[in-house]
Amino acid sequence: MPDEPRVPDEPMSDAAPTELAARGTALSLALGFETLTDRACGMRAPFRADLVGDPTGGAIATGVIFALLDQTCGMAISQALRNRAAAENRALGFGGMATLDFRLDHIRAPRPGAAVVGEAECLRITGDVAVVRGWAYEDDPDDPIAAAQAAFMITQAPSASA
Amino acid sequence: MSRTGLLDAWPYARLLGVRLEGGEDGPVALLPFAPRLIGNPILPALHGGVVASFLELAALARLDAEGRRARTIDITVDYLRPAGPVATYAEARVLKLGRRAANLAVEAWQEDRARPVAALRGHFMILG
Repeated sequence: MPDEPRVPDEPMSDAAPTELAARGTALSLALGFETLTDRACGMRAPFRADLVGDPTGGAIATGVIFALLDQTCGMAISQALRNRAAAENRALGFGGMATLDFRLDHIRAPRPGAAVVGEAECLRITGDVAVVRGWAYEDDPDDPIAAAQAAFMITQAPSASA
Repeated sequence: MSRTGLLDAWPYARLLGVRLEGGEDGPVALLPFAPRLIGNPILPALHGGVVASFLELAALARLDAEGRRARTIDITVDYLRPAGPVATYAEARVLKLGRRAANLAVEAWQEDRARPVAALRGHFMILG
């Protein structure tokens, strides 16, 4: 079932109390981001008139794509943390993550009037630092709008249980 | 070119509430706090995407003030401190203004100008 929306996860969800995790970030809700269930770490930014950047072009703002990919990169790290905890057969610790730096290259302008999908994958997660990449497109992942590369600091406390 | 400022003309800038404010050394960009801008409810802190969008808009508004319409080629945002639930300010500097592209640096701060919360470096295509 493609692109079925559900309540968005927030990137801190593995670390945050459950009730917070179910809610999504205030910003992702305000911008109408929807979590996509048919891929690992994907969200969609709807096309909305108030999300337009330059009104001359009429496309979704580059800043919205940044926020979308920041959010999906956080999801990818949350998932990597969950996978790591599962592989080490331990409970997930509490804590969060903080973006160190985030680079976004705009490959081309988004199509005016089109929703934008963002995806991300965690390339490597060490003790403290996660390296992620993200990409955005309308329909075809092979025709990307923008590419992100980012590093996050993991502030999650190590779990006591082994 | 219309002299309605970019921050008034761009719907996303209006959604975030970004505007220019007079400072001692010229205009600075202002992002008033709003609860919907939160990304981390535990700290709480502004969403990283909001901080980045604000810095990017400050850069574009800076070029707009010089009569240059521009499109973002790439930006890199360094996050230096958590951005708390208060007003954020930003000042953009044009490091290079070429015929086809410009390079800008933007710094954002909250209560203390000497303790920036984030910094942007970016390239912008000059459209006209």
